[in-house]
Amino acid sequence: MADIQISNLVKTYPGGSERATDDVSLSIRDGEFTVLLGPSGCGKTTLLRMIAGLELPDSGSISIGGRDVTYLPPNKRNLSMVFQSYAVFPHRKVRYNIGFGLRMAKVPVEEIERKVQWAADLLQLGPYLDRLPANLSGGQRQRWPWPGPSSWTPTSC
Amino acid sequence: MSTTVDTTPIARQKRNRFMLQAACIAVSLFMLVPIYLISLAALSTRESLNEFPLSLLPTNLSVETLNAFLGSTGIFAALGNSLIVGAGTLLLSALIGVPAGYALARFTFPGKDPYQLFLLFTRALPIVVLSVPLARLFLTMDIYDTTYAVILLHTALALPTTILISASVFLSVPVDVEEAARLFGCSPLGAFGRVVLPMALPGLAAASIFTFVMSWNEVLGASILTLDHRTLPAQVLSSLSDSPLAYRFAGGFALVIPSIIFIALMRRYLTNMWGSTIR
Repeated sequence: MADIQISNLVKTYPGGSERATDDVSLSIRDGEFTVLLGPSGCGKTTLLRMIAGLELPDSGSISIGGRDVTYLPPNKRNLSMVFQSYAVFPHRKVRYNIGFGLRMAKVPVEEIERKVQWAADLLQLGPYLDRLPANLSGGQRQRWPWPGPSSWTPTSC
Repeated sequence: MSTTVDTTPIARQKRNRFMLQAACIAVSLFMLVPIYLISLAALSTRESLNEFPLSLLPTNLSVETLNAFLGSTGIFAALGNSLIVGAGTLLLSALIGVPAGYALARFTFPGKDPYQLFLLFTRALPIVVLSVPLARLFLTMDIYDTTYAVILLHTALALPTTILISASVFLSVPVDVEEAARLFGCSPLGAFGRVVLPMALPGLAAASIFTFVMSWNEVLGASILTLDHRTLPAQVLSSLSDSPLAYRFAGGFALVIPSIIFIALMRRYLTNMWGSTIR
């Protein structure tokens, strides 16, 4: 189960005078597909970053699957996120990039290998696993952000 | 019917390319000729140095001068001291400077700008002004005339550049990749070690060249802070005035070679390691 409960989330950036998110409450059921829509600067990214743990709220609470994660560090949340820029690790091969999350989660090596292969086949990146990200074409790089998140099993994405 | 083709742009391009090559060769010669001459002198026999006109081609090669230099008292010890001091300075300044640079690049804290300015003040003081009080302090602390003393001085001298260079290097590593690593389960230290540090390595290599060469060349502070445990430049300097010409050339040669080797080794990391970078 991975339903997300957000209640009364308030965040003001240091040095800012206005609230980035002003008393936001939201509940997302397990398996639900949710879209945040709004003008620039309305706090969409701030909200996502707080759910991911990259920003800490001033007040309010976030819980995922019934577990309070409001002030939990990002690596303890078992989440995934696609960044606006691709956020790949340019010094490592495609294979390492795809398997990074699994490696961090201490998944056995054969299991990582299997899942990386599966994700690569799905995205037609199979022949490029041993290349560096810099040596992929534009289109191949566009497909890039997916492998990381999808190859491992987050509770919410 | 044939049109006349205006070839002036291509001719200009050719000329510019030629001028660029010529400039590169001139700069290289400016650097290489002294190194060549000193190597030639160090590797020639003592007699051939006094010949006139001096031969500019390696005709009388011998390692006799160099052997005499390396055999003279204190040279090997001084070479060892120089290497210890260089490596120690590199290690200590990286240990303090790299985290400081990271903090400057990633966090905002009160007094950040004055701090960056204040860093440069150590370089504003002449080394003599720094060394004399330090010598007194080291005497009372009982570490005078040790390689530690010189390492401490050189680290203090190298830190401003190490911190400022590594800060700008870390600024060029996108925050996104660090955050992605955190999301995929890295601790803050893990994300730094696995992702940020490898991406920052070329820049940090450049900083380390600065540090090592600075430490290798620094002679004034090292002379003041040591008596029996001199670094190589300090040792050569102290015996320079009353030594034969050949000895001086051999000393110069021995001073140049290790830093050239170090730079050649680090150069590998300077050029971008991953082809082109992704933005």
